[in-house]
This record gives sequence, structure tokens and C-alpha cells, in this order.
Amino acid sequence: MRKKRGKLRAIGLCLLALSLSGCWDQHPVEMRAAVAAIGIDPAPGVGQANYTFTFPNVTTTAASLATTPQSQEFYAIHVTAPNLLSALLSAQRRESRTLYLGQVRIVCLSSALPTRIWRSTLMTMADSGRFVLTTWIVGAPNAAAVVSLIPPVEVVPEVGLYNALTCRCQGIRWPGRGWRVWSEIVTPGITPSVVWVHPHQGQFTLTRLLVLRSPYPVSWSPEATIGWSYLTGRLLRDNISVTLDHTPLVVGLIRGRSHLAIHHRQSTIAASVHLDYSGVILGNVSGSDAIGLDRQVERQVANRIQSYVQAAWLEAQRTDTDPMGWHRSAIWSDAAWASDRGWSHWSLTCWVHFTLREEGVLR
Amino acid sequence: MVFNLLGSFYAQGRRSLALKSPGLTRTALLWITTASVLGSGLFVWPLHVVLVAGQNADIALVLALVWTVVLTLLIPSPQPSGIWHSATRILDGVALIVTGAIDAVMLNQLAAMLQTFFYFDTPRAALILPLTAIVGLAVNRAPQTAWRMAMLWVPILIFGTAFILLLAVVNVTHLRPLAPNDQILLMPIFQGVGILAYIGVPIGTTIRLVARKLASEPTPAWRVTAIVIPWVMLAMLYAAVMGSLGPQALTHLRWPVVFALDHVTLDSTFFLSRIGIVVVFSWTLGVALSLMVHIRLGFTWRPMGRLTRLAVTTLVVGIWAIAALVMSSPQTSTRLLLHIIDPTARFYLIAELCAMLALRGFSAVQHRAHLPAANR
Repeated sequence: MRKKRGKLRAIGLCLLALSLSGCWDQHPVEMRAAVAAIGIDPAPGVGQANYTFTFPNVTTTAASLATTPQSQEFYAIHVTAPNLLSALLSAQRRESRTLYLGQVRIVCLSSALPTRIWRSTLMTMADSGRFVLTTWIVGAPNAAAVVSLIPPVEVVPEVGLYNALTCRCQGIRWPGRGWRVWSEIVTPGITPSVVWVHPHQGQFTLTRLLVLRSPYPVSWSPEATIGWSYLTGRLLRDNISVTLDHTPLVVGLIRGRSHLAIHHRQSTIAASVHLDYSGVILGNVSGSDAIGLDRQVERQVANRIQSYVQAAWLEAQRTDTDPMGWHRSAIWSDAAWASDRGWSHWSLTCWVHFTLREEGVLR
Repeated sequence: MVFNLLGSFYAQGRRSLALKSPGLTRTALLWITTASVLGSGLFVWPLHVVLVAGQNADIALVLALVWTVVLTLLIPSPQPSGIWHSATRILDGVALIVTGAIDAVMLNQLAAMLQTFFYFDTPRAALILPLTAIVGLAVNRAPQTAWRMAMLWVPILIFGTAFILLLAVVNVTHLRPLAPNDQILLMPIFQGVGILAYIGVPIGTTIRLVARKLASEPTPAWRVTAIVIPWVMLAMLYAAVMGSLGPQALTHLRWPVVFALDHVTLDSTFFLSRIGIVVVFSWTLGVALSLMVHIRLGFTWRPMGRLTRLAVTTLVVGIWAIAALVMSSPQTSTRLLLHIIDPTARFYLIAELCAMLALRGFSAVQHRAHLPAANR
């Protein structure tokens, strides 16, 4: 009797263990084609787009890495479809293994695509549940070129652009995590923005912000992008060159924070931003009045930051976009404020406080 | 270190059960109450409270906490006798039935959430049936198993959630929505408190029933701590969601808490890149523990023999599983919770508060009557 009960328990436990592990969703990696990047470009047909899916080549093993040519580390499938889900189906028809979307690192959309396609793609990704939304959304003149780009330093299955955006080694902490772009799309008062990737001779450059205004995205100038990063506190490090008595000097390792205060006045909004940044002179200021010269350097750098901020402010007004999310902040502090009133009711006051942390050391 | 700490919790639980049986320590009250409340608090509320109260949902949360703390402080100690004993028993019985209905909804929500986020191809029955079977088996192993489970796993659950929340701090970039709006309208806030009623239902009953099993009567400070722990956890989850998504984006999601925590990334670590699996573990554990504790509370409410216990457990667990499977979608279960269970919960909580107030008043009068005339 006791033996029988033990057997029953063992069988019951095995059954429980089997069903609890969610066997239906467990597939070995060689039966899966994990999508590493998706590129979306405009296509000639009405309502159509060209989709490029890139996959790491799983036949590339650690042992064969040395012998595999770089061009074979990833392979791509190109399809034309009206939307992302149809594109996935079409891609699946050309692939012998199950498409897996839990490892998508980069979704690159062409800046020539209308913003509504950007929106619908992001909404599909969020609603379908199968996409991992920690992926990076980026913009580029030619999306297929970006997703097929394999920088020589990366080894499969690493995606170079993903690593570049995640490493916090860039001068600017770029926006564009999938879930964040999605949340900015559904939140009034902020124009979602992503990084604009420029592929060039097997490399990529990140210098501009691509702002998703309607009907087409618009890219901000590099100057305005730096100004935006100062305003939002997304600047991780920057260098500014100044001249002191005809001697060129570089102030580097600039970092700091920004503080925004919004005051509602009847029909207008006064935004005041305090930028508190500091940096290091790379080199020595020599002379009898070193402290006075330091102050001069600080003033010059502060003026330069002011000009960046000015560029960003003018770009925001010119393009009628708000990637800083100031309208959103206005709504959060005053529920009655309408988000669609543009910049005409705004005034900006910006205080820049720049201090030198230290001087470089002559070795 | 963590394992030592956990080991000591477990050892403490075992000791208190072994030596002073049937008395539990007062720490057990904290963990059991947390298990009982947290399971119901994982789904539905942040979305629907924010839908009605917007950014001011935190005021609703604070009001709900105040309500339950007042309720807890009014619970008489020691237990009343006579007609008041029967009245409290009826209250507890109603609370257990309402809690059972909430549990069925939570089971359905858990399964639907797991399917949406993690197990796309796994049938819902394969998620619900093993879970309910384990709950049923564990509760019937020995009378103390449910308590012991709560005392072991709730601290782990709290550590796990605190760990995820610590990582989620990076994503909390919007601090403004955490503060109330400049327009504080009372009606939406009260509606928000109303929606939170379903989380408050098991609180009074859990404290009253577990207090019977404690070695010594819980002081008001212990009871309030037992209530505050789950509410603080819920408030921290709310802060993580509101601070990373904001009040508008939050309303576009069915499970905002899971969404926000699923996107916590650990890019710099090699072996643990997505912590979604910790969320799966914690949520399943939270719901399973609350189901277990609720069945066990039923046995405390009405002590019964081993076979009866087995029969009752099978029945309850069966009803839960069938109900969770019959509710075809999370929308159905949410609607059921908001339109049928929640109004009942509100009514119950008001009745409970009135009963406790009357009981307090009555015992005060009785106390005066028993005093010698000279002392009056």
C-alpha cells in the first residue's frame, strides 16, 4: 500500500514537473532562428515596405569562428509586406526554423518612412507580446544597410550597434529603448526621438537625433542634438575647445546635470532650466593670474553651452517638436494644460553654471 | 549571507511550530498577512485606479491604507465571546468566500499574464492545473505546512521583489507623476479607494484568525506592521510603474507592473540579461502562497478532520481551477472583479468597520458596567 502510494506520488511529481516547465514553449536553439535585427525601408508599392531580418548563423561555432568569413556570421532574409506581422509570416515561409523574437537587438526604420508606420510598428511590437521591448529602435537613411552592417570587431551573435548604444561609452546617452519609445508614443506632450545612425564604409556614426514628428520624422542638427543632451541631462561627456590669449585649450570630461522648472502663468508657460556642468582643462593654464584665467575659460565654455542650448531651442521651434518632453511635464504639473499648443506660449530662461574641476597635470 | 538569513527565518518558523505548537510567533503574523494580501494585490489595481484617479492614485492608495489600519486597530483583543463571537464568525465566513472569488480571478489573471509575456504556446490549463494541484497537496500535507510555507517563502518573495525594484530604479525617470496633480478632485480618488477594496477584504479576517494561532496576542504595533508591509510593497511597485511609464502610458497596458519590471535590463552582466524570469517566479509564488494561506484560514475558521479537510480542499481547488479556466479572457475576469466582486468587497469592508466599531463601543460599555460603583 505504502509502496503504491510512493509510486503514485513519484508519477504525480513527474507530471507536475513536466507541465510546470512550460514544455510547449521550450525549443532547442538549433530549431530556432533568433532574429537579431530588423530593418524597415520604404517600398515602391502603396502601403508596402521592405523588411530585412538578420539572423546570427548558428552553424558558426566557437571552434569554427576563426575560419568563418565575416560575411557569413549573419544572414538576412528580405521580404516586402504591408506590415510587420505579414512580414514575419513571409519571412517564416523562407526559413526552415521557427522565428524567435526574444533576442531582437536592433529595429532600424528608415527616416524616409512616414511617422505613422513608425507608430504602427511600435504598437504591433508592444501588443503582440512576442517581441522583447528592451530592443533599440534607431533611424537611418537606409535601414537595410544598418542591419546588415557588421563592424570588424564584433563576433557573432553580438550586434555592434546594440553594444554601442548599451555600453554607456558614447558621449550622449541616446534615447530609443523600445518600451520607452512606445511609452512616448502613447503619452501626449513629448515627441518621441531615437538616434539617427549614419552607416559609412562599414562603420556607423551616431551624431544626430531623429525626432518622430508627423507626418515624417525630422533629424536635428548635430549642434542642436548636443544642446538637447545638455538640456535633458543625457550628456555623459563632452569636449569644448576655447582660446585663451590666442592659445587653444580643450576643456574635456564635461558632465553635470540639468534641472527644469515650469511655471504656469495664465496662458503662457515660463520654463527655466538650470544647467550645472563641470569639466577639466586638458593642459595647464600658466601665467601670473591663473585663477582669473580659469574664470575666463569657464565663461567661454558656459557661452558655448548657451549656444548649443540656443541651437536646440531654435530647432525645437523650427521643427515644432519637443523631444525634451517639456509639454509632458507641463501636463503632469497642470492637468488643464493642453498638449497641442506648440511653442508659441513658451518662454525659456537658461542659466548655465560651469566650473572647472581641475587642471590637467603636466607629467 | 542571504541564505543564512533565510535559513534563520525557516529555523525560527520550525522552532516556533515544534516547541510551542500550536502557537506561532508574532513574526509569523507579518509573513502570513503579507502572503494573504499580496496575492490579490498583484493584478488589476494599478491600471484601474489610475484610470479613474490619474496621477492622484497615490492619494487613493494612502486612504486605503488608513482605512485598513483603522480597521486593524479596531479588531478586539482578546477575542470576543457570545453574540459578538458569532457576528465575527459570520464576517470571517463572508470574507473567506469573497476572498475565494478574488483568488479565482487572480488565478485567471496570472495564467493569462504568463501566456502573454512568457509562455505563448503553453495551454492555460497546463499553467492553472499544476499550480492548483500543488496548492491543494501542500495545504493537506500537515496542518502547519501552509504557515511554514508562508514563513519561508514570503521573506524570499520580499527580497526578490526588493531586488527587482532596486534594479528598476534606473528606469524611474519621471518623478513628477509620483506627486499628486494640482487638481485634486475627491470623487475620482474615492472611486480609486473603492477599487482597492478587493485588496482589503482578507486583511481583517487574516489577522483575526491567525491571532488565534499565535502563542501570544499580537499588540496593535504588530498588527499595524503586518498591514503596512504588503501595502508598502504595493506602493513601491506602483512607484516603479508610475515613475518609469507615467500616468498616460500606464493606462494603455493590462499588466503595467509586469510590463515595467519585464524591461529592467542588466546589460552589463554576462549570465543574467533579462530578469523577467524573477518576475514569473515571484508572481506565481505570490499567488500560490495566497491561495494556500486562504485555504488554511478556512480550516482555522472551522476546524475539521483530516478527511473533511481533504474533501474541502479538493472542492475549493477544483472550483478555482474550473472558474479560472471558464473565465475565457483576462478582460472577463477583470470585469467580474470590478463589477461584482469589488462592490461586494466595499459593502463588506463598511459592514466590517461598523461591526468592529459597535463591538468596541459595546465592550467599553460592558467594561464600565463591571467597574465598582466607587470607581465610576
